[in-house]
Amino acid sequence: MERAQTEQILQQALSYQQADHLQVSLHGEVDANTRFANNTITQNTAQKDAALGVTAAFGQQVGHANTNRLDRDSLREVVQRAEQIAQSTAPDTEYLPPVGPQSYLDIDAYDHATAEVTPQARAEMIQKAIQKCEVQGLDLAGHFSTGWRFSAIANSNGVMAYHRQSSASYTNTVMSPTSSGWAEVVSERLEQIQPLEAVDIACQKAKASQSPRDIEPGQYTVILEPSAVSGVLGPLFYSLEAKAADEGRSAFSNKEGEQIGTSAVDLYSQPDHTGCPTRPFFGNGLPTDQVYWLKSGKLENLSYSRYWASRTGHAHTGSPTNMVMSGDDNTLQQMIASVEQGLLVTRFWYIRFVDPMKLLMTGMTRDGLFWIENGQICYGVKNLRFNESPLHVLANIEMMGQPCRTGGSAYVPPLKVQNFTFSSGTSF
Amino acid sequence: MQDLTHLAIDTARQLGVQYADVRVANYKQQVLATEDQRVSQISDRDDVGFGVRVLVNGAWGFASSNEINREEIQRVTHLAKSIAEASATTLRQPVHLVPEKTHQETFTTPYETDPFLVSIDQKIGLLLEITAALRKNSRVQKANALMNLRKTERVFANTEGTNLESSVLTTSAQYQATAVGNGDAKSRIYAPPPRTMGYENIDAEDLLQNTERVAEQAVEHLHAPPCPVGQKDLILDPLNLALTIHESVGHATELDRALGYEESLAGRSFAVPELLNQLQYGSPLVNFVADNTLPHGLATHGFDDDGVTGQKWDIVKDGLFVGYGTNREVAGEINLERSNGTCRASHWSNTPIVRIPNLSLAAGQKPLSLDELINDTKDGIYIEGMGSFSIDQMRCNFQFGGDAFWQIKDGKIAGMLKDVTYQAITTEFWNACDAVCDERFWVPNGILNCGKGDPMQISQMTHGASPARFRQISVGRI
Repeated sequence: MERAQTEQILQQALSYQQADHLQVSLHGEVDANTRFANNTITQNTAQKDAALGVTAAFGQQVGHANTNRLDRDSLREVVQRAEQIAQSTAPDTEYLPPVGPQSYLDIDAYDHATAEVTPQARAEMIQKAIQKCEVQGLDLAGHFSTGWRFSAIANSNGVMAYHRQSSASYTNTVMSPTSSGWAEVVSERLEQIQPLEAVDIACQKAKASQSPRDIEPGQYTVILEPSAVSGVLGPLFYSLEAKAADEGRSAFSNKEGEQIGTSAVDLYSQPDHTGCPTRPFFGNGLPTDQVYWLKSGKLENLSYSRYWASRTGHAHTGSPTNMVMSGDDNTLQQMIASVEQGLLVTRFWYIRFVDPMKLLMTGMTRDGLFWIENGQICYGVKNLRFNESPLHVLANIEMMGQPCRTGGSAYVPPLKVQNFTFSSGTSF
Repeated sequence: MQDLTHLAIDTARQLGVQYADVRVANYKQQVLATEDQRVSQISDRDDVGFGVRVLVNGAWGFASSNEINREEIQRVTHLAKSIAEASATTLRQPVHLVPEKTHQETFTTPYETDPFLVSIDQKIGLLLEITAALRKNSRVQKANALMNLRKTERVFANTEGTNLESSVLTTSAQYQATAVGNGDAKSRIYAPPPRTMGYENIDAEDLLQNTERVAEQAVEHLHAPPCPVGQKDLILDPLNLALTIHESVGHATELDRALGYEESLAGRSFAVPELLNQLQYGSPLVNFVADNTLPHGLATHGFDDDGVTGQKWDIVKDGLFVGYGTNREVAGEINLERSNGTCRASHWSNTPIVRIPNLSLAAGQKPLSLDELINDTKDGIYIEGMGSFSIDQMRCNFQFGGDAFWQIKDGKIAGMLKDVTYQAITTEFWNACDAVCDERFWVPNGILNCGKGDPMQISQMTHGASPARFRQISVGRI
C-alpha cells in the first residue's frame, strides 16, 4: 500500500475517535515464497495482507483491537471495539498518552524491481541452482522469497509516519548422503545478492564435510561464521530490558556500565545502516535511532521503554531494532589460518535459553562443522550441542572478521572465540 | 461464504487445473494479561482471508488475499495457476494425491460458554485476582497471568466436490510466580491443559486454589540446590512429557520431514520410511497413538486442509515404529491408500503442510500411581512442567529442562532442585522407559505454538501422557 492510501485509512480510523487518546497502525505485505527440496520446487506461494491495529485509552484504561477488513464500516467497528475494551477494564498503570509529531530518519529500503519479482523469475534461478547440484550428485533444498512490506502509524496527537521495505532472501542447504552445507544471501535489493554464490558455498561445505568423523564434546577454540554469531548473540538482544534488570530478574541486573566484552566489541542498533536497514519509528510513534548496547565492551545501555525511561530518568532507547556488530579487516581464511586446533561452525540450530539469569543458551551446530588443525580445515566432524553464554563469547573474542548481512536484521562479523563449550554430540 | 468458495472452484475448473481447493478462514483471538496489579495486555484480533491452492502439470501453486470479493477471488485463482506453472518448470516427479472420498460436513467444537461472550471485565478480573493472590506471598516479586482465547472458522471446498465447514474454539489460561534473591530469579508456572472448549475450560476455582502452592514453590525453587551431574532415574510428569513427545516423536514422525521436504528450515528425521515396522523406537511399554478425533484435542478440527476427516492410528505400537502423520501428497510414498489427515495450514495465507496430530503416550495397562512410582525409585528426579527445549535437525540429540524439579531419595521426595536439564538420544531415551502410570493419571496437555514451515506456521496439538519413568538418563551435563 502506498503512503497516500495508508494515510487515508489512518485518518479515517482516527475520525471515529471517542476515547481520550487513539493510536492507529497499519501494516501489510505482498510476499512470495518459493520452497524447494529434493531438487524440485515443493511449495510456491503468494500472499497479500494488511491489518489495522487500534489502541484506545480513556485515562489509563487501555484497549487494543485489530482487523484486516479495511472498509469504512470495519474501520469504525475496530475503533469502537478497542474503545469498548478500554472502557471495561482496569487501568494499565504504565500507560502514557501518545507522543506528538516527531522527526524521523529518511531510510531508503525499497526497490520496486525486488518487490515485483515474478514466480517464473524465482523458478528460473532455482532451476540453475538445482542444475549446479545435480551435476555434482548433490541434493538441494531451500527457500527463495521476494516481496515488500509497509508500516504506517498515526495518533490523535498528530503523529503520521510511513515506511516501506522490499526484501529478497535466498537460503539453501545442499546434501550429500553423509553431510550437508548451508549458505544464505539477504538484501533489500535483489540486484545486490548472488544466489548462485550461495549454492557454490553450500556445495563446497557439503562435499568437504562428507563422512564426518567423531569428535569428543569439550571446550574448543571456534571460528563462528556470521550466521552462528547472530544466532548465539541474538538472545542477548532479547534480554536487555531495563525494567527486568532493575527488578533483579535479568542477567544484566546491576551490570550497566560494566565491562562484559573485550574492548573491541561494539554492539549496536542503527536503523539507517545501509547493510540492514529497518523502520525509522517505533510503534508508539517515537523515532528509532542509533543506540549502542555495548561500546568498547562496556554495557552502554539497556533497553528502556517509554514508561521505564520516564520513571528512571534514563533516555528512551526502545527495544533493539537491528543487530549490528563492528568487525575487523580479517578474512575468514586469515581467521582459520590463525587456529592451531579448533572448529569452524557454519551455523547453529534450535537455540534456547537454559538459564536466563546467566544468559546460558543451548543449541546444535548444523550444516557444516569442520575440524581445523595448524591453520587448515582438515575434515568435517559430527554435530555438537553447545551450552554456552553470549556473555562468555563476548569476553573471549580473539579475532574478528568483516561484518556482513545475515538473516533478517543482523550485520555481524565472523568471530574467533576461545574456550567455547560443547557438551554432547549426535550421530551425524 | 459458499458462493465465494464455489466461484474459486469454478474459476479453477475453467482454467483447466488438475486439482484445486479453497479455504476461507476467519480468526478471532483475545489475549489478556496481567502483571502484578497492572493490566499489561488486552488485544482483540479479527483476521479474515482466503487461499487458493492448485495443481497444474503435477506442481503446486498457492495464492491468498485478505480481500474477499469476487474480483479478488478470480485474480488470486489465476495467480495460483500462474505460480503452479512456474513450479512445474523444475518438476522431477509429478505430485500424486492419494484418493479421498468427497465430504459434505460441518464440525463445531462442543462448548458450553462462548469465551467471546464473557465480559472483558470478568476475564481481567480473574487474572488480577490470580496475580494478587500470588503476590500475597511477600517473597514473590513478580506475578504474571495470561489468558488466550481463539475461534477459527473455516470453509473448505475442492474440485473433487468436497464442501466442509468448521468452527473451533481454543481456550487456555496460565500464570507464573517469580521469586528474586541472591543474584538469581526462579519461577513456578501453573498451566492447566489448553483445550478445544469454551470458557468452561477456564476453571477459576482451580486456578485460584493453586496460587498459594505455586507461590511457595517459586520461593523454594529460588533456594534449591543445583542439579547434580550424572545419570539419574527420571520421572516425568504429563506436562513435561508433552514437550518431549512433541519434539522427539511428533516432529520425527511427520512424513514430509522424513522425506526431506522440510530440510531447508526444520530439518529431516532419523525415522526414515525404511525403518517403518523395523525400528524399536521405545521399550515395549511405549505406545504412541495419534488421534485427531480426541474430544477437546487441540488438533481435533473435524477434517484437515486436504479435506480428509480426522482419524485415529498408531505411531509407535509396543515400542515399534509403525506410523507417520501424512497428507494426501506424501501418503502414497509409504503405500498408504488414504492420508491419515494431518495436513493443516495455520493461516489462510499459508499453504497447508503435514502437522503433528494429537499424539499421546498411552497410559500404562497395569495399575500404577505416581506415588507408587516415586516409592519404587531409589535415586532420581521428578520433573514437572515445561522448560528449556532443544533438539537437533534429525531429531536425535535433545536437551530438555522443566519447570520444577524434585529430588527422589529412597522412594521419597527430598526437596527441590534447580537448573535441571536432561540429555539423551531419542531412541535410547524412549527405550529406557520402564514404567508408565495408569489412565487415572493421564492428562491431555498440549502445545499452542508449534512452529514449522518457511514462512513459519504456528499450529496446536494435544499430547496426553501419564507420568513415566526413564532409567539412567544423563542430567546436568551443560
